Amino acid sequence: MSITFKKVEHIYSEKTPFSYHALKGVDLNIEKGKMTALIGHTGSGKSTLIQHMNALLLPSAGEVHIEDILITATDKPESLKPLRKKAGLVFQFPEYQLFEETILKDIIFGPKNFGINEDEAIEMAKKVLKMVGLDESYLEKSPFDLSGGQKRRVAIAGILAMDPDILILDEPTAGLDPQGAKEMLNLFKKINQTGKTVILVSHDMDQVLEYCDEVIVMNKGKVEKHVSVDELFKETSYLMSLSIDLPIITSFIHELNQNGFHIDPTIKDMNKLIESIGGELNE
Amino acid sequence: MNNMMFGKYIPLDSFIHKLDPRLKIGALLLLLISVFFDAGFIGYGILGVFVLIMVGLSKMKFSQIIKAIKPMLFMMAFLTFFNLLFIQRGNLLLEIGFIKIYDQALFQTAYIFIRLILIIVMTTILTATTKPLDLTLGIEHLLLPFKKIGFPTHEVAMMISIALRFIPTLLEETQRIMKAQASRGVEFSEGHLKEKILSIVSLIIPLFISAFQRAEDLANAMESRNYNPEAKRTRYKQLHWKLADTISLMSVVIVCSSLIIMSFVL
Amino acid sequence: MDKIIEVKNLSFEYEEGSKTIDNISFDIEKGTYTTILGHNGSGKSTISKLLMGLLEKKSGDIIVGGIQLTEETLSEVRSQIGIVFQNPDNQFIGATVRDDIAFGLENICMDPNLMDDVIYEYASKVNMLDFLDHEPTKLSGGQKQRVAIAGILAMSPSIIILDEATSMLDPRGKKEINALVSELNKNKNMTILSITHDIEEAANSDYVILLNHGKIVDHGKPKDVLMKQEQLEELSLDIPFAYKVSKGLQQKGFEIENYISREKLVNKLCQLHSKK
Repeated sequence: MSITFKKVEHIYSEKTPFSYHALKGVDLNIEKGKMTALIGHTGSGKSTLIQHMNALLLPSAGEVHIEDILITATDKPESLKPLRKKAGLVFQFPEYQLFEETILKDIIFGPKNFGINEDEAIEMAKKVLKMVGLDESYLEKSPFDLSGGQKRRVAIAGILAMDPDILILDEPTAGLDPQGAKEMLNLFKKINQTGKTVILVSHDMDQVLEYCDEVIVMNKGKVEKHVSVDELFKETSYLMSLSIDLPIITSFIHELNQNGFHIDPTIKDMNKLIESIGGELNE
Repeated sequence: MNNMMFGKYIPLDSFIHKLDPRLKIGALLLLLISVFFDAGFIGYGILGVFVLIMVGLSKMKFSQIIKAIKPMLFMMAFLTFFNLLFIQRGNLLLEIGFIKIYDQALFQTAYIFIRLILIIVMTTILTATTKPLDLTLGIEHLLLPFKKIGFPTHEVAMMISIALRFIPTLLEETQRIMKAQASRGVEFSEGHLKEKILSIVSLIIPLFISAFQRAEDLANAMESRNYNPEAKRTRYKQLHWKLADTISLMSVVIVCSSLIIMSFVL
Repeated sequence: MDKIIEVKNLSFEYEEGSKTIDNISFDIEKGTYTTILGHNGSGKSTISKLLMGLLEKKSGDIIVGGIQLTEETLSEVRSQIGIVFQNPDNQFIGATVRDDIAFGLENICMDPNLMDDVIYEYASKVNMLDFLDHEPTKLSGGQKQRVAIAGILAMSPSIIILDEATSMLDPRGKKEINALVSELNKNKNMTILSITHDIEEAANSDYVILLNHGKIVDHGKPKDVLMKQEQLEELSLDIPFAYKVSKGLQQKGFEIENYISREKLVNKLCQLHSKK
């Protein structure tokens, strides 16, 4: 297991009038090498949950295991650095964390903080910059001269350069155009295929359907479901009760099925959809 | 941050809460001035009772007042200590090694201590009973006469209210950036000087960039809604001077002037 | 039909010599829902800032409700247009919902005694009446955008521009805003100009303008513009879902016309199915 949560509670500003119970008895196992989506409404506890994965927040009660590192309310490792290197967290709108004069310096900032020597960090920077789709000529440019989408790629490269085993992404495609979003997700899929665990917080169910293996549904501070993607989108009425949108293809099938069609609701792919519709019309 | 009581508005429904912000600001100024007239311990006694009445009228809890004083205790202890040591007038009371304490020093220190407490409590009453926006409005109205000599009253008031509006947003932003950089291995509380400087830079630069972005967006949004700093505007929030305000002003004037007179007579 | 916005040979450059907006012309008719589509960096947000007079055009004409936009008519033109920007936080000016709606009213010198009624009317129109004394930090993104819309409506404009107004919102917020805007368009005859990259929104609008590198590549009714698959792909835009399905069915030998509206396609397919 890559990530395990046991009865994790989190209460913000405990023992004050502002206290807020954000996580309620969360049990969770995330397997190594999977690409897992984390979905749920704003305020359901997603963001609190992922911040436990690199100990930005500590549990109020319960245990968090990140591979071989254990964190509890009273007990945490002396230094959090090994954990933060292992679990790379990309916040929403990460372009706002850029600050160095050159893109190279910004990318090697993380690795250097984790004690990686400069030459190695520079090699790594070159590699990750290529991964995010920018060539080496960018290394000496200022990150502030880039377009919004490019800035985000550089910020993500800064996390990838730390070579984390687990990559946690909080809505990485928010505000990108459809093409930019697609390229970004393909990058994460590629990273996932090299054996890394990827956790993707997303509101876009089309992304979840197309790119993820498993889904965790959060609701009111609890993990309500942890199932495979196929299984989740079969439960249309459950998702509608949470007012979570269906992926466009699933909702289209749902609309047809309500009007007399019998199409398999787990179809993800356009060709199969057309074949099924064709089949039923030809019957 | 959340535990800071000093300067925070406490939403209650009290006589003082309902008073006109212009009156409250004006009264605070008068009271602050009279604190610095030496009216002896009797004078401070009168003022102390007056302040206690105000606390009572504001419906604030005593613990809230204590909380407001708390952050200042360190500074007060510091001042007391130096005053005791360095004022060397009057009769020697106590001598331990090189430390000599005189009776005048004791008096002086007690004076300063009382003055500070009075100032803090009075200021707390103002900020705890007046919404930041009403404070701004009050200041704006009190500054209106200066408009004639070209002082940009409205602009200053608009600046203050926008600053107040964006403080929580920027605090949130600061926390977010700190967490983002912590995820990249920054430890804000540890490290050598050089590392510390770099970690602060990694916070400050993104914060500035985002603040400038916000400022630009905000300017666009304000202009789009037909804001023009030079044009005439009406104001939604109107101040209404009531009988209670007149009576309160009179009592403050009576207390303050008697203190000032006492300081000259005694 | 009345033209409410006329743009003629409009050009703009941030830097000398590189045109962000390059000689574009278009008209918008009163009461229509128009979408401007283009990828990030195509210049689409610059257009909205030019229309509001927030940026100064290099050349060309902008005429809003018959008034030519100049330095002198700036405030007149702005009073006809309300704009909702992308970031919900950075356009919330007041300390509370109430104060934020009042901000615009103060600017147009409304009598303070009348403001409360106006604030209640428009706060209730966007369903925010229960939040009048809430501070922005206690509101969701969708709620903040609704307040922005209330603030705009209170100044009774005839045009609303949405400058990627839903792109930072969660699905719930998006739905709230989309529903509110189409209600305003249908029932209040409000002219809507939406700058977006949501192809499904464009498919349901009255008129589409495709923008690339500051130039208008194509414009017209959605069914004319959004069925040109190659062109959309070239501009790295999505293809409408219904179009992909209907095209696929045609290739399988079904006689079905091209659709861009999902709703209409579902109806057609169900019709065909029930005939069996």
